[in-house]
Amino acid sequence: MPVQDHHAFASIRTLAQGLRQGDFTSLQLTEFFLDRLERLGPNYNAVATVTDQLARQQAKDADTELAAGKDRGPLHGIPFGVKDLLATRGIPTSWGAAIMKDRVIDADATVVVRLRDAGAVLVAKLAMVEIAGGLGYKQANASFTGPGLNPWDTRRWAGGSSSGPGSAVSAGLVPFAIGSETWGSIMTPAGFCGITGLRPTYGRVSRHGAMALSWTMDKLGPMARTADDCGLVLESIAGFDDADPTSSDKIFQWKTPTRFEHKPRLAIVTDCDKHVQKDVRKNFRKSLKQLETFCQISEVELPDLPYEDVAGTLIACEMAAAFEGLVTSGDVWQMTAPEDRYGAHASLMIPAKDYINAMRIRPKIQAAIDRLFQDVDALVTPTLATVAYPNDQSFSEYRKGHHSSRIGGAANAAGIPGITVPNGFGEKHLPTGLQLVGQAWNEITLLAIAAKYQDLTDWHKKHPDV
Amino acid sequence: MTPIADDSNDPLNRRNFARSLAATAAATAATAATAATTATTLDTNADDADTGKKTPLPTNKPKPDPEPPPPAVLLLETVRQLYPHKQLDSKDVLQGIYSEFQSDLARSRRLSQFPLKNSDEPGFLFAAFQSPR
Repeated sequence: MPVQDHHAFASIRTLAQGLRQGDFTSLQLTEFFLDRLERLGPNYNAVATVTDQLARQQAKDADTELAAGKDRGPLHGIPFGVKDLLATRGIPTSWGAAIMKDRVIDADATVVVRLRDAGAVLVAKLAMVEIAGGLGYKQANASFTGPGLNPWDTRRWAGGSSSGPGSAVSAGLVPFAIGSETWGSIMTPAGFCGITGLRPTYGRVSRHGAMALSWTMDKLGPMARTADDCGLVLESIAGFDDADPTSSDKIFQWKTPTRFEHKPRLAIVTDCDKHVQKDVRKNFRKSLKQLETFCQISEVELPDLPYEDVAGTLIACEMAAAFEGLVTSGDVWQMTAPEDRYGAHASLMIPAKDYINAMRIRPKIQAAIDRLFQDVDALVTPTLATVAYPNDQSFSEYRKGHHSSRIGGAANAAGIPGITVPNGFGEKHLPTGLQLVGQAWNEITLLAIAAKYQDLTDWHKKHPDV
Repeated sequence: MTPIADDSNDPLNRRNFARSLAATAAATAATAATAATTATTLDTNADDADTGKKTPLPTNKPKPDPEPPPPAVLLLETVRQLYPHKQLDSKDVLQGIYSEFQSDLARSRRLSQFPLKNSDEPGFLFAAFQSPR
Protein backbone atom coordinates (compact mmCIF):
# COMPACT_ATOMS: atom_id res chain seq x y z
CA MET A 1 0.00 0.00 0.00
CA PRO A 2 1.67 3.25 -1.07
CA VAL A 3 1.50 6.44 0.93
CA GLN A 4 -2.10 7.64 1.06
CA ASP A 5 -3.79 10.83 2.17
CA HIS A 6 -4.72 9.42 5.57
CA HIS A 7 -1.03 8.97 6.34
CA ALA A 8 -0.80 12.74 6.65
CA PHE A 9 -2.54 12.35 9.99
CA ALA A 10 -1.12 8.99 11.07
CA SER A 11 0.78 8.46 14.31
CA ILE A 12 4.51 7.78 14.38
CA ARG A 13 3.94 4.12 15.28
CA THR A 14 1.57 3.68 12.32
CA LEU A 15 4.08 5.23 9.92
CA ALA A 16 6.94 3.23 11.44
CA GLN A 17 4.94 0.04 10.95
CA GLY A 18 4.23 0.97 7.31
CA LEU A 19 7.94 1.47 6.71
CA ARG A 20 8.88 -1.87 8.21
CA GLN A 21 6.09 -3.74 6.45
CA GLY A 22 7.35 -2.37 3.14
CA ASP A 23 4.11 -0.45 2.49
CA PHE A 24 6.25 2.53 1.53
CA THR A 25 9.81 3.73 1.83
CA SER A 26 11.11 6.66 3.83
CA LEU A 27 11.81 8.44 0.55
CA GLN A 28 8.20 8.01 -0.56
CA LEU A 29 6.95 9.21 2.80
CA THR A 30 9.34 12.15 2.66
CA GLU A 31 8.22 13.12 -0.84
CA PHE A 32 4.62 12.92 0.35
CA PHE A 33 5.25 15.38 3.20
CA LEU A 34 7.52 17.62 1.09
CA ASP A 35 4.69 17.95 -1.38
CA ARG A 36 2.24 18.87 1.37
CA LEU A 37 4.67 21.39 2.83
CA GLU A 38 5.20 23.08 -0.54
CA ARG A 39 1.55 22.96 -1.55
CA LEU A 40 -0.29 23.58 1.71
CA GLY A 41 2.33 25.24 3.92
CA PRO A 42 1.72 28.73 2.46
CA ASN A 43 -2.00 28.46 3.32
CA TYR A 44 -1.04 28.65 7.00
CA ASN A 45 2.22 30.64 6.88
CA ALA A 46 3.58 27.52 8.50
CA VAL A 47 6.97 27.15 6.87
CA ALA A 48 10.20 29.13 6.98
CA THR A 49 12.31 26.77 4.84
CA VAL A 50 11.58 23.43 3.22
CA THR A 51 14.75 21.36 3.58
CA ASP A 52 14.08 19.19 0.56
CA GLN A 53 17.64 18.31 -0.46
CA LEU A 54 18.70 17.33 3.03
CA ALA A 55 15.44 15.44 3.54
CA ARG A 56 15.81 13.37 0.39
CA GLN A 57 19.36 12.40 1.35
CA GLN A 58 18.39 11.51 4.91
CA ALA A 59 15.42 9.49 3.64
CA LYS A 60 17.60 7.55 1.21
CA ASP A 61 20.06 6.84 4.01
CA ALA A 62 17.21 5.69 6.25
CA ASP A 63 15.94 3.33 3.57
CA THR A 64 19.41 1.92 2.94
CA GLU A 65 19.93 1.23 6.63
CA LEU A 66 16.50 -0.35 7.13
CA ALA A 67 17.05 -2.54 4.08
CA ALA A 68 20.39 -3.61 5.56
CA GLY A 69 18.73 -4.52 8.84
CA LYS A 70 19.98 -1.50 10.77
CA ASP A 71 16.97 -0.17 12.67
CA ARG A 72 17.49 2.96 14.73
CA GLY A 73 14.11 2.76 16.40
CA PRO A 74 10.60 4.15 15.97
CA LEU A 75 11.67 7.50 14.47
CA HIS A 76 13.83 5.86 11.79
CA GLY A 77 12.72 7.20 8.41
CA ILE A 78 9.98 9.45 9.87
CA PRO A 79 9.86 13.05 8.54
CA PHE A 80 9.66 15.93 11.02
CA GLY A 81 9.99 19.71 11.26
CA VAL A 82 11.65 22.01 13.77
CA LYS A 83 10.78 25.50 14.92
CA ASP A 84 13.08 27.89 13.10
CA LEU A 85 15.00 28.77 16.25
CA LEU A 86 17.03 25.57 16.11
CA ALA A 87 20.34 25.91 14.30
CA THR A 88 20.84 23.74 11.24
CA ARG A 89 24.12 23.65 9.37
CA GLY A 90 23.86 25.07 5.86
CA ILE A 91 20.19 25.98 6.19
CA PRO A 92 18.89 29.42 7.23
CA THR A 93 17.77 29.89 10.82
CA SER A 94 15.62 33.00 11.05
CA TRP A 95 14.28 33.11 14.62
CA GLY A 96 11.15 34.43 12.87
CA ALA A 97 12.76 37.81 12.23
CA ALA A 98 12.92 39.47 8.80
CA ILE A 99 16.45 40.72 9.39
CA MET A 100 17.67 37.16 9.97
CA LYS A 101 15.68 35.33 7.34
CA ASP A 102 18.78 34.43 5.30
CA ARG A 103 21.17 34.01 8.23
CA VAL A 104 22.91 30.63 8.36
CA ILE A 105 24.36 29.33 11.63
CA ASP A 106 27.14 26.90 10.83
CA ALA A 107 26.17 24.26 13.38
CA ASP A 108 23.41 21.83 14.23
CA ALA A 109 21.45 22.12 17.45
CA THR A 110 21.83 19.12 19.73
CA VAL A 111 18.15 18.23 19.24
CA VAL A 112 18.63 18.21 15.48
CA VAL A 113 21.66 15.93 15.88
CA ARG A 114 19.81 13.58 18.21
CA LEU A 115 16.86 13.24 15.86
CA ARG A 116 19.23 12.62 12.97
CA ASP A 117 20.93 9.93 15.05
CA ALA A 118 17.50 8.41 15.66
CA GLY A 119 17.08 8.18 11.88
CA ALA A 120 14.40 10.89 11.58
CA VAL A 121 14.24 13.00 8.42
CA LEU A 122 14.26 16.80 8.69
CA VAL A 123 11.83 18.13 6.09
CA ALA A 124 11.26 21.72 7.22
CA LYS A 125 12.20 24.62 9.42
CA LEU A 126 8.85 25.83 10.67
CA ALA A 127 7.61 29.38 11.13
CA MET A 128 7.53 31.08 14.49
CA VAL A 129 6.80 34.41 16.13
CA GLU A 130 9.83 36.68 15.81
CA ILE A 131 12.35 36.22 18.64
CA ALA A 132 9.98 33.61 20.09
CA GLY A 133 7.64 36.35 21.21
CA GLY A 134 10.07 37.73 23.77
CA LEU A 135 9.73 41.30 22.57
CA GLY A 136 6.11 41.50 23.69
CA TYR A 137 3.88 40.94 20.64
CA LYS A 138 0.21 41.54 21.24
CA GLN A 139 -1.42 40.36 17.99
CA ALA A 140 -0.96 37.62 15.43
CA ASN A 141 1.08 39.43 12.78
CA ALA A 142 4.49 39.15 14.41
CA SER A 143 6.70 37.15 12.05
CA PHE A 144 8.34 37.72 8.70
CA THR A 145 6.37 34.73 7.43
CA GLY A 146 3.10 36.46 8.33
CA PRO A 147 0.63 35.57 11.06
CA GLY A 148 0.43 31.86 11.84
CA LEU A 149 -2.93 30.77 10.42
CA ASN A 150 -4.96 28.07 12.11
CA PRO A 151 -5.73 25.08 9.85
CA TRP A 152 -9.17 24.76 11.48
CA ASP A 153 -10.03 28.28 10.34
CA THR A 154 -7.47 30.47 8.67
CA ARG A 155 -9.18 33.58 10.03
CA ARG A 156 -7.92 32.44 13.42
CA TRP A 157 -4.42 32.41 14.89
CA ALA A 158 -2.35 29.23 15.10
CA GLY A 159 -0.96 30.32 18.47
CA GLY A 160 2.59 31.21 19.37
CA SER A 161 5.34 31.36 19.49
CA SER A 162 5.65 27.83 17.99
CA SER A 163 3.05 28.72 15.36
CA GLY A 164 4.55 26.68 12.51
CA PRO A 165 4.96 23.47 14.52
CA GLY A 166 1.35 23.85 15.69
CA SER A 167 -0.22 24.44 12.28
CA ALA A 168 2.08 22.06 10.39
CA VAL A 169 1.28 19.10 12.63
CA SER A 170 -2.41 20.01 12.68
CA ALA A 171 -2.61 20.27 8.87
CA GLY A 172 -0.70 17.03 8.33
CA LEU A 173 2.37 18.69 6.84
CA VAL A 174 4.69 16.81 9.22
CA PRO A 175 4.05 13.87 11.55
CA PHE A 176 5.71 15.68 14.44
CA ALA A 177 7.68 18.81 15.18
CA ILE A 178 9.93 20.32 17.82
CA GLY A 179 8.71 23.49 19.46
CA SER A 180 10.02 25.58 22.30
CA GLU A 181 8.37 27.04 25.35
CA THR A 182 9.57 29.82 27.57
CA TRP A 183 6.05 30.57 28.76
CA GLY A 184 3.18 29.08 26.79
CA SER A 185 4.82 28.64 23.38
CA ILE A 186 4.18 24.91 23.08
CA MET A 187 0.94 24.66 25.03
CA THR A 188 -0.79 27.55 23.24
CA PRO A 189 -0.27 26.54 19.58
CA ALA A 190 -0.86 22.89 20.45
CA GLY A 191 -4.09 23.85 22.22
CA PHE A 192 -5.31 26.20 19.50
CA CYS A 193 -4.46 23.77 16.68
CA GLY A 194 -5.92 20.67 18.34
CA ILE A 195 -2.74 18.61 18.66
CA THR A 196 -0.77 17.10 21.53
CA GLY A 197 2.11 19.16 22.93
CA LEU A 198 4.58 18.30 25.67
CA ARG A 199 6.56 20.87 27.63
CA PRO A 200 9.35 18.90 29.29
CA THR A 201 10.99 19.71 32.61
CA TYR A 202 13.59 22.49 32.33
CA GLY A 203 16.90 20.71 31.67
CA ARG A 204 15.35 17.53 30.28
CA VAL A 205 16.29 18.49 26.70
CA SER A 206 19.51 20.24 25.70
CA ARG A 207 19.00 23.83 24.57
CA HIS A 208 22.32 23.91 22.73
CA GLY A 209 21.84 25.46 19.30
CA ALA A 210 18.43 26.89 20.15
CA MET A 211 17.91 30.64 20.20
CA ALA A 212 18.18 31.77 23.79
CA LEU A 213 15.28 33.95 24.82
CA SER A 214 15.60 33.18 28.52
CA TRP A 215 18.45 30.92 29.58
CA THR A 216 16.72 29.90 32.79
CA MET A 217 13.27 29.29 31.31
CA ASP A 218 13.61 27.98 27.73
CA LYS A 219 12.50 24.39 27.09
CA LEU A 220 12.33 22.35 23.88
CA GLY A 221 9.63 19.75 23.40
CA PRO A 222 7.63 17.64 20.95
CA MET A 223 4.39 18.66 19.26
CA ALA A 224 2.65 15.69 17.69
CA ARG A 225 -0.61 13.81 17.17
CA THR A 226 -0.64 11.74 20.33
CA ALA A 227 0.87 11.48 23.78
CA ASP A 228 2.51 8.26 22.64
CA ASP A 229 4.21 10.12 19.79
CA CYS A 230 5.41 12.79 22.23
CA GLY A 231 6.88 10.07 24.45
CA LEU A 232 8.74 8.50 21.54
CA VAL A 233 10.19 11.84 20.48
CA LEU A 234 11.12 12.89 24.01
CA GLU A 235 13.02 9.65 24.53
CA SER A 236 15.12 10.47 21.47
CA ILE A 237 15.96 14.05 22.42
CA ALA A 238 16.28 13.89 26.21
CA GLY A 239 19.50 13.57 28.16
CA PHE A 240 22.70 15.28 29.19
CA ASP A 241 24.68 17.31 26.69
CA ASP A 242 28.16 18.66 27.35
CA ALA A 243 27.22 21.76 25.38
CA ASP A 244 24.35 22.63 27.73
CA PRO A 245 25.42 22.55 31.38
CA THR A 246 21.79 22.87 32.50
CA SER A 247 20.85 19.60 30.80
CA SER A 248 20.23 16.61 33.03
CA ASP A 249 21.59 13.08 32.87
CA LYS A 250 18.33 11.65 34.20
CA ILE A 251 17.16 8.82 31.97
CA PHE A 252 13.84 9.07 30.17
CA GLN A 253 12.45 5.94 28.56
CA TRP A 254 8.99 5.72 27.08
CA LYS A 255 6.77 2.78 26.45
CA THR A 256 3.02 2.81 26.33
CA PRO A 257 1.81 1.70 29.74
CA THR A 258 -0.39 -1.35 29.77
CA ARG A 259 -1.73 -0.59 33.23
CA PHE A 260 -1.14 1.81 36.10
CA GLU A 261 0.46 0.58 39.33
CA HIS A 262 -2.05 2.69 41.19
CA LYS A 263 -4.99 4.77 40.12
CA PRO A 264 -3.46 8.13 39.09
CA ARG A 265 -4.35 10.95 41.46
CA LEU A 266 -5.38 14.13 39.70
CA ALA A 267 -6.23 17.47 41.24
CA ILE A 268 -8.32 20.11 39.56
CA VAL A 269 -6.85 23.54 40.16
CA THR A 270 -9.51 25.50 42.02
CA ASP A 271 -11.47 27.90 39.82
CA CYS A 272 -9.47 26.91 36.75
CA ASP A 273 -12.63 26.90 34.60
CA LYS A 274 -14.28 29.90 36.16
CA HIS A 275 -13.22 32.50 33.62
CA VAL A 276 -13.09 30.41 30.46
CA GLN A 277 -15.43 30.28 27.48
CA LYS A 278 -18.61 28.25 27.97
CA ASP A 279 -17.56 25.48 25.56
CA VAL A 280 -14.11 25.29 27.09
CA ARG A 281 -15.75 24.68 30.48
CA LYS A 282 -18.21 22.14 29.06
CA ASN A 283 -15.44 20.17 27.36
CA PHE A 284 -13.29 20.30 30.48
CA ARG A 285 -16.11 18.88 32.62
CA LYS A 286 -16.68 16.10 30.06
CA SER A 287 -12.98 15.30 30.11
CA LEU A 288 -13.05 15.02 33.89
CA LYS A 289 -15.79 12.42 33.61
CA GLN A 290 -13.61 10.41 31.25
CA LEU A 291 -10.57 10.82 33.49
CA GLU A 292 -12.64 9.68 36.48
CA THR A 293 -12.98 6.27 34.88
CA PHE A 294 -9.31 5.56 35.64
CA CYS A 295 -8.15 8.36 37.97
CA GLN A 296 -8.95 9.65 41.44
CA ILE A 297 -9.84 13.31 41.21
CA SER A 298 -9.59 15.89 43.95
CA GLU A 299 -9.17 19.64 44.00
CA VAL A 300 -6.24 21.80 44.99
CA GLU A 301 -5.72 25.52 45.39
CA LEU A 302 -2.60 27.13 43.99
CA PRO A 303 -0.62 29.00 46.66
CA ASP A 304 -0.92 32.75 46.23
CA LEU A 305 2.51 33.67 44.86
CA PRO A 306 3.54 36.18 42.19
CA TYR A 307 4.05 33.61 39.43
CA GLU A 308 3.39 35.91 36.49
CA ASP A 309 5.50 38.76 37.85
CA VAL A 310 8.43 36.44 38.52
CA ALA A 311 8.25 34.69 35.15
CA GLY A 312 7.67 37.97 33.31
CA THR A 313 10.59 39.70 35.00
CA LEU A 314 12.99 36.82 34.38
CA ILE A 315 12.08 36.60 30.72
CA ALA A 316 12.15 40.36 30.13
CA CYS A 317 15.55 40.81 31.80
CA GLU A 318 17.19 37.82 30.15
CA MET A 319 15.73 38.85 26.79
CA ALA A 320 17.07 42.39 27.28
CA ALA A 321 20.55 41.01 27.90
CA ALA A 322 20.34 38.59 24.98
CA PHE A 323 18.96 41.09 22.49
CA GLU A 324 20.32 44.51 23.41
CA GLY A 325 22.20 44.26 20.11
CA LEU A 326 18.90 44.49 18.23
CA VAL A 327 18.38 47.91 19.76
CA THR A 328 21.94 49.24 19.44
CA SER A 329 22.15 48.12 15.81
CA GLY A 330 18.73 49.55 14.98
CA ASP A 331 17.61 46.14 13.68
CA VAL A 332 14.77 46.18 16.15
CA TRP A 333 13.00 48.72 13.95
CA GLN A 334 12.62 46.04 11.31
CA MET A 335 10.56 43.77 13.53
CA THR A 336 7.21 42.91 11.95
CA ALA A 337 5.04 43.75 14.96
CA PRO A 338 5.27 47.42 15.97
CA GLU A 339 4.93 46.48 19.64
CA ASP A 340 8.02 44.26 19.33
CA ARG A 341 10.02 47.41 18.58
CA TYR A 342 8.86 48.94 21.86
CA GLY A 343 9.21 46.01 24.23
CA ALA A 344 12.88 45.58 23.48
CA HIS A 345 13.56 49.16 24.53
CA ALA A 346 11.49 49.08 27.69
CA SER A 347 13.01 45.85 29.02
CA LEU A 348 16.48 47.39 28.90
CA MET A 349 15.52 49.68 31.77
CA ILE A 350 14.34 47.06 34.29
CA PRO A 351 16.53 47.41 37.39
CA ALA A 352 18.85 44.56 38.38
CA LYS A 353 17.20 44.29 41.78
CA ASP A 354 13.95 43.23 40.12
CA TYR A 355 15.69 40.35 38.37
CA ILE A 356 17.46 39.29 41.54
CA ASN A 357 14.30 39.51 43.61
CA ALA A 358 12.45 37.45 41.02
CA MET A 359 15.23 34.87 41.37
CA ARG A 360 14.83 35.01 45.15
CA ILE A 361 11.11 34.36 44.93
CA ARG A 362 11.57 31.58 42.37
CA PRO A 363 12.74 28.87 44.83
CA LYS A 364 9.69 29.61 46.97
CA ILE A 365 7.50 29.02 43.93
CA GLN A 366 9.33 25.79 43.17
CA ALA A 367 8.96 24.50 46.72
CA ALA A 368 5.31 25.52 47.01
CA ILE A 369 4.35 23.92 43.70
CA ASP A 370 6.37 20.80 44.43
CA ARG A 371 4.48 20.36 47.73
CA LEU A 372 1.25 20.06 45.73
CA PHE A 373 2.58 16.84 44.26
CA GLN A 374 2.97 15.10 47.63
CA ASP A 375 -0.58 13.87 47.33
CA VAL A 376 -1.31 14.07 43.63
CA ASP A 377 0.33 12.88 40.42
CA ALA A 378 -0.86 15.69 38.18
CA LEU A 379 -2.81 18.92 38.18
CA VAL A 380 -5.54 19.26 35.59
CA THR A 381 -7.00 22.39 33.98
CA PRO A 382 -8.31 23.56 30.63
CA THR A 383 -5.26 24.35 28.48
CA LEU A 384 -6.51 27.80 27.47
CA ALA A 385 -9.40 30.04 28.41
CA THR A 386 -10.67 30.46 24.86
CA VAL A 387 -10.43 28.96 21.41
CA ALA A 388 -7.96 30.47 18.93
CA TYR A 389 -8.05 34.24 18.67
CA PRO A 390 -9.15 36.02 15.47
CA ASN A 391 -6.22 37.23 13.40
CA ASP A 392 -7.59 40.73 13.07
CA GLN A 393 -8.02 41.48 16.77
CA SER A 394 -5.52 42.16 19.52
CA PHE A 395 -5.23 39.24 21.91
CA SER A 396 -6.43 41.24 24.88
CA GLU A 397 -9.47 42.46 22.97
CA TYR A 398 -10.68 38.95 22.13
CA ARG A 399 -10.02 37.35 25.49
CA LYS A 400 -11.48 40.20 27.50
CA GLY A 401 -13.15 38.75 30.59
CA HIS A 402 -11.51 35.36 30.09
CA HIS A 403 -8.34 34.07 31.62
CA SER A 404 -6.93 30.65 32.25
CA SER A 405 -5.57 29.21 35.47
CA ARG A 406 -2.37 30.70 36.89
CA ILE A 407 -0.74 27.28 36.55
CA GLY A 408 0.92 28.33 33.26
CA GLY A 409 3.02 31.03 34.89
CA ALA A 410 3.61 28.89 37.97
CA ALA A 411 4.73 25.82 36.01
CA ASN A 412 7.07 27.77 33.76
CA ALA A 413 8.59 29.70 36.66
CA ALA A 414 9.09 26.37 38.45
CA GLY A 415 10.41 24.59 35.35
CA ILE A 416 7.99 21.66 35.62
CA PRO A 417 6.44 19.66 32.77
CA GLY A 418 3.00 19.88 31.20
CA ILE A 419 1.07 18.27 28.40
CA THR A 420 -1.95 19.37 26.40
CA VAL A 421 -4.28 17.07 24.53
CA PRO A 422 -7.29 18.00 22.40
CA ASN A 423 -10.59 17.47 24.23
CA GLY A 424 -13.32 18.79 21.94
CA PHE A 425 -14.45 21.81 19.99
CA GLY A 426 -15.70 25.20 21.03
CA GLU A 427 -16.79 28.42 19.37
CA LYS A 428 -16.77 28.20 15.53
CA HIS A 429 -15.76 24.53 15.74
CA LEU A 430 -12.27 25.39 16.95
CA PRO A 431 -10.34 22.94 19.14
CA THR A 432 -10.13 23.11 22.93
CA GLY A 433 -7.54 21.41 25.10
CA LEU A 434 -7.01 19.63 28.39
CA GLN A 435 -3.80 20.33 30.30
CA LEU A 436 -1.96 18.13 32.79
CA VAL A 437 0.94 19.50 34.82
CA GLY A 438 3.30 17.25 36.76
CA GLN A 439 6.17 17.20 39.18
CA ALA A 440 9.66 17.93 37.88
CA TRP A 441 11.07 15.00 35.87
CA ASN A 442 7.73 13.17 35.91
CA GLU A 443 6.80 13.49 32.25
CA ILE A 444 6.21 9.75 32.20
CA THR A 445 3.12 10.02 34.40
CA LEU A 446 1.69 12.88 32.35
CA LEU A 447 2.27 10.97 29.14
CA ALA A 448 0.75 7.80 30.56
CA ILE A 449 -2.41 9.58 31.75
CA ALA A 450 -2.70 11.48 28.48
CA ALA A 451 -2.19 8.28 26.46
CA LYS A 452 -4.90 6.51 28.44
CA TYR A 453 -7.23 9.48 27.91
CA GLN A 454 -6.57 9.24 24.19
CA ASP A 455 -7.36 5.51 24.30
CA LEU A 456 -10.80 6.49 25.57
CA THR A 457 -11.43 9.42 23.23
CA ASP A 458 -10.89 10.26 19.59
CA TRP A 459 -10.36 14.03 19.67
CA HIS A 460 -6.72 13.53 18.69
CA LYS A 461 -7.88 11.72 15.56
CA LYS A 462 -9.90 14.68 14.31
CA HIS A 463 -8.17 16.86 11.79
CA PRO A 464 -9.07 19.91 9.76
CA ASP A 465 -10.11 19.67 6.12
CA VAL A 466 -7.04 20.88 4.30
CA MET B 1 6.48 32.96 24.54
CA THR B 2 2.75 33.52 24.56
CA PRO B 3 1.57 36.91 25.81
CA ILE B 4 -0.52 36.75 28.96
CA ALA B 5 -3.49 38.96 29.68
CA ASP B 6 -2.21 42.31 30.84
CA ASP B 7 -4.76 44.94 31.59
CA SER B 8 -2.36 47.08 33.62
CA ASN B 9 -1.47 49.21 30.62
CA ASP B 10 -3.01 52.59 30.72
CA PRO B 11 -1.86 54.12 27.44
CA LEU B 12 -1.08 57.75 27.71
CA ASN B 13 -3.05 59.82 25.27
CA ARG B 14 -1.15 62.08 22.93
CA ARG B 15 -2.01 65.24 24.79
CA ASN B 16 -0.86 63.89 28.16
CA PHE B 17 2.18 62.37 26.59
CA ALA B 18 3.16 65.65 24.95
CA ARG B 19 2.56 67.36 28.28
CA SER B 20 4.78 64.85 30.09
CA LEU B 21 7.55 65.25 27.56
CA ALA B 22 7.28 69.00 27.87
CA ALA B 23 7.50 68.57 31.63
CA THR B 24 10.63 66.47 31.16
CA ALA B 25 12.20 69.16 29.05
CA ALA B 26 11.20 71.79 31.58
CA ALA B 27 12.53 69.68 34.43
CA THR B 28 15.79 69.11 32.60
CA ALA B 29 16.17 72.82 32.00
CA ALA B 30 15.21 73.60 35.58
CA THR B 31 17.69 71.06 36.90
CA ALA B 32 20.43 72.58 34.79
CA ALA B 33 19.51 76.07 35.99
CA THR B 34 19.37 74.94 39.61
CA ALA B 35 22.72 73.24 39.25
CA ALA B 36 24.24 76.44 37.88
CA THR B 37 22.77 78.53 40.71
CA THR B 38 23.93 76.04 43.29
CA ALA B 39 27.41 76.03 41.82
CA THR B 40 27.56 79.84 41.99
CA THR B 41 26.26 79.85 45.54
CA LEU B 42 28.79 77.28 46.62
CA ASP B 43 31.59 79.22 45.00
CA THR B 44 30.44 82.40 46.76
CA ASN B 45 30.23 80.63 50.10
CA ALA B 46 33.70 79.23 49.59
CA ASP B 47 35.01 82.75 49.04
CA ASP B 48 33.19 83.82 52.17
CA ALA B 49 34.84 81.12 54.18
CA ASP B 50 38.26 82.26 53.05
CA THR B 51 37.67 85.95 53.71
CA GLY B 52 35.43 85.62 56.73
CA LYS B 53 33.07 88.14 55.21
CA LYS B 54 29.36 87.52 55.17
CA THR B 55 27.74 87.96 51.77
CA PRO B 56 24.10 89.01 51.77
CA LEU B 57 21.72 86.29 50.57
CA PRO B 58 20.35 86.82 47.08
CA THR B 59 17.08 88.68 47.15
CA ASN B 60 15.41 86.73 44.35
CA LYS B 61 14.60 83.38 45.98
CA PRO B 62 14.78 80.32 43.69
CA LYS B 63 11.42 79.28 42.30
CA PRO B 64 10.03 76.02 43.64
CA ASP B 65 10.98 73.01 41.50
CA PRO B 66 8.36 71.97 38.98
CA GLU B 67 6.66 68.67 39.70
CA PRO B 68 9.08 65.96 38.62
CA PRO B 69 8.04 63.96 35.57
CA PRO B 70 6.76 60.43 36.17
CA PRO B 71 9.32 57.59 36.20
CA ALA B 72 8.11 56.22 32.88
CA VAL B 73 8.87 59.55 31.20
CA LEU B 74 12.32 59.68 32.78
CA LEU B 75 13.00 56.14 31.59
CA LEU B 76 11.84 57.11 28.14
CA GLU B 77 14.23 60.01 28.08
CA THR B 78 17.02 57.69 29.26
CA VAL B 79 16.31 55.34 26.38
CA ARG B 80 16.39 58.27 23.96
CA GLN B 81 19.80 59.26 25.29
CA LEU B 82 21.33 55.78 25.49
CA TYR B 83 19.89 54.33 22.29
CA PRO B 84 19.32 57.31 20.00
CA HIS B 85 17.46 56.60 16.79
CA LYS B 86 15.33 58.71 14.48
CA GLN B 87 12.38 56.39 15.09
CA LEU B 88 12.38 57.66 18.65
CA ASP B 89 11.13 61.01 17.34
CA SER B 90 7.79 59.42 16.49
CA LYS B 91 5.03 59.98 19.01
CA ASP B 92 3.48 56.58 18.24
CA VAL B 93 6.75 54.85 19.01
CA LEU B 94 7.24 56.84 22.19
CA GLN B 95 3.68 56.07 23.19
CA GLY B 96 4.30 52.36 22.64
CA ILE B 97 7.49 52.30 24.69
CA TYR B 98 5.87 54.46 27.37
CA SER B 99 3.06 51.91 27.74
CA GLU B 100 5.64 49.14 28.16
CA PHE B 101 7.37 51.16 30.88
CA GLN B 102 4.11 51.63 32.74
CA SER B 103 3.51 47.91 32.62
CA ASP B 104 7.08 47.10 33.74
CA LEU B 105 6.93 49.62 36.58
CA ALA B 106 3.63 48.18 37.80
CA ARG B 107 5.17 44.70 37.79
CA SER B 108 8.23 46.03 39.60
CA ARG B 109 6.04 47.53 42.33
CA ARG B 110 4.20 44.24 42.78
CA LEU B 111 7.48 42.31 42.99
CA SER B 112 8.80 44.73 45.61
CA GLN B 113 5.78 44.05 47.77
CA PHE B 114 6.62 40.37 48.08
CA PRO B 115 8.06 39.77 51.55
CA LEU B 116 11.65 38.56 51.33
CA LYS B 117 14.04 37.91 54.19
CA ASN B 118 17.72 38.72 53.99
CA SER B 119 18.42 35.00 53.97
CA ASP B 120 16.30 34.39 50.85
CA GLU B 121 18.98 33.68 48.27
CA PRO B 122 18.47 33.88 44.52
CA GLY B 123 17.89 30.59 42.76
CA PHE B 124 21.06 30.82 40.73
CA LEU B 125 23.09 27.72 40.17
CA PHE B 126 26.71 28.75 40.21
CA ALA B 127 29.78 26.63 40.82
CA ALA B 128 33.51 27.15 40.65
CA PHE B 129 34.83 26.00 37.32
CA GLN B 130 37.84 23.85 36.56
CA SER B 131 38.53 22.85 32.99
CA PRO B 132 38.93 19.10 32.40
CA ARG B 133 42.59 17.99 32.50
